[in-house]
Amino acid sequence: VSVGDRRLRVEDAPLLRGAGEFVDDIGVDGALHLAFVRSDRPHARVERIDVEAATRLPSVFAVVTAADLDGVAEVCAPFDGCKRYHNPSRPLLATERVRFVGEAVAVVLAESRYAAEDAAELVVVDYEDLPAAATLEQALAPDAPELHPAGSNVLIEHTLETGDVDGAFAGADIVVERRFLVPRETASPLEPRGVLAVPDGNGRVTLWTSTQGPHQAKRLISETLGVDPGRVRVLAPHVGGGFGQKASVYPEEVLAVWLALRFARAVKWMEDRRENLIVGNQGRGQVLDVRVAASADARLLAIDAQVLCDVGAYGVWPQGHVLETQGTPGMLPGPYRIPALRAVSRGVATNKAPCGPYRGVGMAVAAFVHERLVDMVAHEAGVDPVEARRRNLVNADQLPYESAAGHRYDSGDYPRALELACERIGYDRIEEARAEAQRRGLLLGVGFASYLEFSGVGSWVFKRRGMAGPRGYDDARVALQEDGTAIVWTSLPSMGQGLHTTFAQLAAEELRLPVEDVRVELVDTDAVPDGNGSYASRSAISGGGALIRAAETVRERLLEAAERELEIHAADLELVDGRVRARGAPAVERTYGELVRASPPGRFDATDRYDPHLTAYSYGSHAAVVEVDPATGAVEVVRYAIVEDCGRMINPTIVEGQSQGAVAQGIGAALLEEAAFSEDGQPLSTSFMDYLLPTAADVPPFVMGHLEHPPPELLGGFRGVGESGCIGAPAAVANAVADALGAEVNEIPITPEKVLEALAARGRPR
Amino acid sequence: VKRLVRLEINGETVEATVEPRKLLADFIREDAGLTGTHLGCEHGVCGACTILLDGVAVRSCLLFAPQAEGRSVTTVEALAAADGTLHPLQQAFHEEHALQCGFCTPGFLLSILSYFERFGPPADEHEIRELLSGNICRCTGYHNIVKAVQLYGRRLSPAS
Repeated sequence: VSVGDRRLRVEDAPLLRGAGEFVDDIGVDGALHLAFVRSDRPHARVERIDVEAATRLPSVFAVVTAADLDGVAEVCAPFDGCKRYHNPSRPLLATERVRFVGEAVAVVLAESRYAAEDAAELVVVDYEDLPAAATLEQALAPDAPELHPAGSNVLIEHTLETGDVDGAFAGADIVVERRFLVPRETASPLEPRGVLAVPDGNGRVTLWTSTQGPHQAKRLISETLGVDPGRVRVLAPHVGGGFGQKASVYPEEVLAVWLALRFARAVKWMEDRRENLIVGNQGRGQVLDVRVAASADARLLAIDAQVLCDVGAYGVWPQGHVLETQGTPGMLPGPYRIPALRAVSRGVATNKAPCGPYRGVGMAVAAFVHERLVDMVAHEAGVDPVEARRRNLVNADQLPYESAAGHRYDSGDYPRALELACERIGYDRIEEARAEAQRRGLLLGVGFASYLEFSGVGSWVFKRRGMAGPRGYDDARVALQEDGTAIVWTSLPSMGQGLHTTFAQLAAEELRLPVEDVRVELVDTDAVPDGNGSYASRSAISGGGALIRAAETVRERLLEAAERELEIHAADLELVDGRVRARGAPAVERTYGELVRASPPGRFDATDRYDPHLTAYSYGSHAAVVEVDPATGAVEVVRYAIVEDCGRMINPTIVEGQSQGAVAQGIGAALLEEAAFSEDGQPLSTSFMDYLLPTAADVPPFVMGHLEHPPPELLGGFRGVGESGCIGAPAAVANAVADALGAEVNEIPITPEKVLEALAARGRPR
Repeated sequence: VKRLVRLEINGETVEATVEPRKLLADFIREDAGLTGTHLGCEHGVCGACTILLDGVAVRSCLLFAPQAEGRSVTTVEALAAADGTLHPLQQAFHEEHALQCGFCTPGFLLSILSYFERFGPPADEHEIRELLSGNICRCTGYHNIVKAVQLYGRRLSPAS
């Protein structure tokens, strides 16, 4: 048995030795380096682009603007059957208008990156400024400048209504109504984006790109450029983090291929950090006005929400502009029994960088809101916050449970996760800790967050949402070699989540091979036909399912071959440790290698696909203890407990690593991170000195707890675990700070300034 | 105007004629061909490009190659033995699952080694977190990096 083992990762050694191969590490002689000329205006008409001085530099090969891209289509995420939406397309290079600071206007090709950047500086763009809609308020004003010909800047409106919402509010003992603010955040993978496109001179091109979805990159490139898909090969080398930002295919990737084909030269673009912070897809950016109705004993009756999502200037590909707008409202009930829900969400175009997937899309904001609301209801009812959660959580015997938003929660034990979180954080001793902190002049608070994460989204979900671009399935291929070992390919790149280890563990178990005999290759679109890619917590589910199916085919063929070779009926054979042997007579056997060598080539090379027919809802409860310094407003997270259920764990060590890393991001979101903009749309957090990422000194050690309820209807019994941490953490930390302050915290990040304001509003610190 | 820059990297002399503005990090990656040194921010915050310059951790994105003229540079490639055996700190990172995407890892390794060299093993977890706080990791949440430093320290001085 290898699934469930705390196996050390096979991918570590090269990465530790500095022998990893990230895009920028791939050497190609004579590659041209790209540098983009980007708009410094949030909204303007492009009057004239003067490339002459730039072109004259000796090491510059060419400067390309939209005018040179004749006939190349704009990028537009496909939608089908989506009501009340307008789906704007995005040019590869700006044509007559720029709509956000950072939008690419021209691209320089030069012998080195230094030269390319020099030349980019020399490109002169004449703009005529247009009024900008940089904030939601500006974009929704009656006289707002219109970004796209949509009739208004509201690109999508999404409504949910179930149950008697008005009746619930009319009869409620407790009604809490608040506004919640979650700013733009940005994923900040340590490796920015990067591409290397190499043409072979015969119309075929290979693209190495730092991506979470090589197959979708291949699709967009071949569709946009009108190139036969067989002529585009996309490879994901080592990817230095993604977190959703690399789950979209970008204009730069398409353009790199166009340039490589147009000039018959290898081209390379490495995004720098400033670019990544300005133009890399951002996430969140929501204002929510929410009412909750509850009974006197803190039972939740209804939620009524108005959600505004700051979509930015364009949709992203293939997810479009609908992610937060569609994803947030449905998760507002969280893991609770709430019979009535009304939610109206609007995705609003602004003159900002596009908003795309970022770890915990919709769910992180929804959890922040429902967890703050539960605490406020508990406060109003005079009930302990944990007790309020107990009274409302969907119980194990109520699963599967259909929420008011139409989500079907599959299985698990939500209250048990909460109880474990209480144990792990030491909730029964919290008052002593509070008193002890007080003696040190600090305000201690504890906060909980119970949350859900929907994972492993299949085609039926994308279809229901009208999203025609993403694939609901992934592919896996298993090939036994003549030496009896196996090679595995999938459509799912690893951006740090250890898929080369976990897929090897799963394949080994399914093939009855030692783990050491399975090698998982990097993703190559030539190796498997199609797939979505590693995002939305899907790799274990869709990739695992595909792998299980492909391995099953290989097992069947092994039995058939052994039946022939040994002249023993397949029913009397068993697969053990790389051998097929006769039951009860283990000396009568054939090794896999012997069977492969005795069979036609390709006989044990099987590819399969898995498209989950149900969504798997991971869940958990987090508990955070914070200490607030009332003199400075500084918040320190001193203890943190993570209890999660991702179904069957392939490798608990890797599960814990995913959880802890995501919680650190969530703590960053709670306390530090904001992609800030000026009122007129200029990005303000354009370096890591302004966009603050948590360091080791900003996060506590983590205490883990696992539950393991495999979703019964899904192949493999896995749930996703990639995003959970990000979903629970902002809520848990905000609740803890609110507890410490004795004041509400409904806006993140909770900066020292906001803490001091809250304290001042509350009066003297206790 | 290009100039000849000569320095020692991992015990070998490397020389190349480069523009004076060439970053030391780019010199290491492009002219010495050692791509284990990664660029995460190019403004001195993330620490991914950390190397040892005459034995002390510095950010190679904040130095020009000519500033390292005649000096000795150590990069991550020098840590493992010639046969590939991991350095004890690398081994501790491996055993404690202290890396995920691995992009920031070379910088962490060199920062930690430099700290141990200059100040000895850190006394407690607080000191470890402080010493790590000059490097950013976006994947791990640091918990396992702290554990790796502890494991490395324990193996270095088993008595304490």
